[in-house]
Amino acid sequence: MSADPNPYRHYLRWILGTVAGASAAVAGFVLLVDPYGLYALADIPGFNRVKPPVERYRNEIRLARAERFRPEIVIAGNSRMEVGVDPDGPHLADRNAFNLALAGTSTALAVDQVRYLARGGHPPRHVIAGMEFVDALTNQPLPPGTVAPVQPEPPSGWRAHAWRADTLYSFASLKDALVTVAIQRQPQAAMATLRGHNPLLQYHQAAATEGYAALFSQRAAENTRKLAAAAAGGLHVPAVRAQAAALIDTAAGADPEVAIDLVIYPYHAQLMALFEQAKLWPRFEAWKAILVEEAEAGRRRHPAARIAVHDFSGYGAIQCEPVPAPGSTARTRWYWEAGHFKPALGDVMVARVLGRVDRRAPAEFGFRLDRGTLDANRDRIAAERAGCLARQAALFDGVARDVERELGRRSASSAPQRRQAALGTAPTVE
Amino acid sequence: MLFNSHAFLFGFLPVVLLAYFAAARRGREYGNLVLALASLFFYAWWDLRYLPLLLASIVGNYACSLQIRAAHGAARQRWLVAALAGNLALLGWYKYAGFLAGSVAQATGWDMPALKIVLPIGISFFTFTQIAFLVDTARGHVSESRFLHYLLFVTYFPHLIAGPVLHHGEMMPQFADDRNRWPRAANFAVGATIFFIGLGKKVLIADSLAPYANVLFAEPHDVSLLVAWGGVLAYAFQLYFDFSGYSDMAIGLSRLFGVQLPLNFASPYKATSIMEFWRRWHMTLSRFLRDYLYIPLGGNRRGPARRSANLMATMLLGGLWHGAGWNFVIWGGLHGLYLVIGQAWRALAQRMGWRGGTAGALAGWALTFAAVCVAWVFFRAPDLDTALAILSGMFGAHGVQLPATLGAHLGGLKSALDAAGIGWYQGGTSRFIETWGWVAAASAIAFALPNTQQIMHRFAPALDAAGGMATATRLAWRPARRHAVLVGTLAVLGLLSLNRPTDFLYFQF
Repeated sequence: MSADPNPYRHYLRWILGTVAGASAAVAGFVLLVDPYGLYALADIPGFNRVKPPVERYRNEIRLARAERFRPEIVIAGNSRMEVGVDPDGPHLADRNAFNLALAGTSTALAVDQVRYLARGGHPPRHVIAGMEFVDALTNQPLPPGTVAPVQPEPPSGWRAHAWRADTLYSFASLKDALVTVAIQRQPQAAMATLRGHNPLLQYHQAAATEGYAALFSQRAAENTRKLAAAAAGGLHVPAVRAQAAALIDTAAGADPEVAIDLVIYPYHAQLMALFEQAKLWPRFEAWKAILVEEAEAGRRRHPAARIAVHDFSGYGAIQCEPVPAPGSTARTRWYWEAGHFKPALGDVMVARVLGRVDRRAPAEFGFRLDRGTLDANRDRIAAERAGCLARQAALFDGVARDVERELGRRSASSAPQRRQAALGTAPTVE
Repeated sequence: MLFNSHAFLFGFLPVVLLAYFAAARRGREYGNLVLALASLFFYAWWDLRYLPLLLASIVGNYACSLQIRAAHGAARQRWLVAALAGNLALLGWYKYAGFLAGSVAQATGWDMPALKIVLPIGISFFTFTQIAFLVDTARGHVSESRFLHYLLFVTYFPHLIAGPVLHHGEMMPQFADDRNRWPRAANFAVGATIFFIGLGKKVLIADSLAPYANVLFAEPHDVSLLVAWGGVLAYAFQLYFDFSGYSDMAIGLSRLFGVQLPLNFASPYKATSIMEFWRRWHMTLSRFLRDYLYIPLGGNRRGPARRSANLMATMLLGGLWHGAGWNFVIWGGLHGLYLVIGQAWRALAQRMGWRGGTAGALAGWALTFAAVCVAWVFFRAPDLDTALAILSGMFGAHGVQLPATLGAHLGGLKSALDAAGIGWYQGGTSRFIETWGWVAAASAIAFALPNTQQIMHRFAPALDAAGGMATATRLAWRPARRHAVLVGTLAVLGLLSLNRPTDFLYFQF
C-alpha cells in the first residue's frame, strides 16, 4: 500500500467494487430463493419450497401471487380468515381458491383487492368475505350526520411498483431469504402457503410449551382492553353500509353472476361473552341486521348475483369448545384462542357456505341470515348460550370479572389522562 | 429528506457534489453559492412553508450583526439585546407558545382555544447558531462577515436540521479556503468512511433497538424490573446510536466538500462522572450552553451556591430547549441536580484526598450510566404518568419476572430462581430475548469498541478530534484494501436498510 501513489483512489475503487459486488450477490440470492414467491425461478425442496409469512408489502405480494393463480374463489377478511381458511383444504382444493385475507385489515381492503383482480381481467367468480364486528365499533358515540370514511387512493405510477425493488434489494428481503432457507426442515416454523394461508404452525410449539390456557388468557386480556374501551361508544353504521355495498358492487360489477358470501365469524364463546359484558350485544345484533339489509339491497341492484349472509357466531358445541385449564397439556380442536380458529373449523365453515357436507359440523353450525330469519337466529343463540353457560359457567364468570376490572381501571385512570392531555407535554413538532 | 434515504443518497447528494465542484472550479464563491442554494433546497424539501422564515431570520440577523459591528458602547449593547430578543421571541412563539397557553389554561381553568403551531424544523439549531454569532460579533470576535459565507454557515445542509451547533470562527475560514475547490480523493475516502460508519450506527443499530423501546413506552403499566430496564436500555442505546450516527453522517458528508465539522459526540456512556458525560454528549450544545448561558450567568466564579444555581438554571433551560413539556423540564432538572451533586462529591473527595482508583472509576461509571438512564425515562415518556409507571418498574415495584417459556428451558436453574423470588409471565418470550440481545450487542459496541474519531484519528476526522483520541491502534483506519472491503460491506448493509421507516430522534428538537 505504501507504494501506491494514491492510496485513497485505490481505497475508493475497492469500496465501490465491494458495494457493487455485494449488492449483486444479495439481489441474486434473493431472486433465487424467492422468499415472497414472486419469481418462481427455482422450486427446490429443502432449499426454498416452504415460504415464510410475508411481513412487508403483504397486500402487494398477495395480489401479485393471486394474479398468477387467477383464482375462481377468493377468501377475504382479516387474520381470522387468513389463519382459519386454507384454500388447499378439502372443500376448496379443487376450486382454484386463493386466500387474500390479511391480518389487521378491514372490508375496505377486500374491496380494493377485488377491484384490482377485476382490473387485471380476472375477476373472482365467488367471494367469501369475513365481516368483522369489532371493526364497526367506535369508542365514542357517533355524532349525527357522520359519513363513511373516505378510503385513500392506492399509489399509482412508479410508486405502485417501487415495492418490487425493495423485495429484491433490502435487508429485510435478504433476511427473509435466509429465513426461507432455514425453515425448510423445521416442521413448526412460521410459514404461509403460496395461496395465502398462514396455518400458524408456530403456535403448535407455543401451545405445547405454554399451554392453550396461556394463549387464550393472553388474547383475552388484549380483547378485554380493546372492547372495554368501546363499551360507551357506538357503531359506525355509515362505514359498515358503505363497505358492504362497495364489496357487493365491485364484485358484481366485475362479474354480474358472481357469488358473494358474507361471513360472520365463529367467535369463541369467551369472546361472545366479552361482547355481552362490554355492553356490545345490542350493537352486535344491529350490525348483523345492517349486513342483511345491505345484502338484500345488493340483490336488488344485481339480480344475477347470488348474495348471502352466514352467521357462524353463537354458543354451539363448536364455539363453546372448552378452554384447557392452566397447566393442562390438552389440545383444542377448533380454536387457537377465542379470536382465531384453526383450519379445521375453516373447512367446516367453507363446506357450509358451499353447500357441501362435512360430517364434523353439527347441523346448527352456520345460520343463513335474512330479514325473515333474524329473530329465529336470535332465539338460536339464546338457546345455545343457556347450554354453554350450563357447561362452562366459569368461562362466563371469568370474562365478567375481567371486564369489570378493566372498566374500573379505565374509570380510575381517565381523570389523570384528561389532565395530562390538557398539559400537552409531548413535543408536537417537526 | 433524510440522510438515510434513497432520495438523498442517490439523488440530492450526487447532484450537489457534481454541481458544487463544477461551480467551484470557476471560483470559490460560485461553489459556495451552489452549496448555499442546495442547502436551501434541502431545507425546503422538508417544508417549503418555512423557507421564508429561515431566510428572514438569516437576513435579519445578518443585518443586526452589521449594526452591532458598526455601533460602539451602549449602542452596541442595545443592538445586541434587541437582536437576541427577536431571536428568542421567534423561538418562543414557535416552540413554547402552545405549551405556555396549555399550561396557563390548565393552571387557571380558562377555556382557551388550543394553539396549534407547527415548529419549523431545525429552528432551534439555526437560531442558536445565529445567537452565538451575534454575541461574538458584539464581543468583537467576528473577523469575516461576507453574506454568502454567513448564509452558508447558517444553512449548510450537513448540520442544518439537527446540528451540530456551529461556531462561525470554525466555519467561515473553511468556506474561504481555496483548497476545497477541487474534489480530493482523501476527503472522499475519509468522508465516505465516516458517513458509512454513521449510517451503520443509525440504520443497523438504532433502528433495530427502536421497537423494543417503543413497546415499553407505549404499554408501561405493571412492568417488572427486567422488562422495564430492558426497554429503557433499548431507548438509551437507540438514542445514543441515533444521535452518534447522525453526527458521524454530518461530519462525513461535510468532509466530502473538504469542510470539517466540530466533534459532537465522544463515547458519552463511557463517562465516569456526570460532568464528563456532558463533556462527551452533544458537545456543541454543551459548549453553547456553557459559553452563552452558564458563564454569562457567573459560572463558578461566585462560589459553590451560585455555581449550583447556575448549573440548575442552565440545565433546566437546556431541558426546555429539547422540547416544550414538563417532562423535558424534569429531565433538565434531574441533570442539573446530578451536576450539583457531582460537583459537591468531587469537592468532598478532593478535600479528603480520595482518588478512587479503578473501583472508584467503575462505580462512578455505573452510577453515571444508571442516573442518565433514569433521566432518559422522562426524556422519552409522552407524559408524566408513563414516566412514573416505568420508573416504578425499574425500581422493582412490580417484582422481577421472566418469561415462562424461558423458565421451561432453564432446567435446575429455574427452581433456584423460584427460590430467589423470581416470577414468571406468559408470552413475550421472543421480545424479552431480542430486547436484551440487542441491548447486549449495543452495550458491547458502545463500551468496548473505539468510537469513530478514535478509529479515524490519523486523518483529522473532525475539528477538535485530535486530543486524546489516538488510542485506537488495532482498528485505526487506513486507506487500505482490507478496510475498503469492511467499509464497503458496512455500506451495503446500510444501503439494504434504507427502506425501513425511520426518523432521527434529534430532529424533534
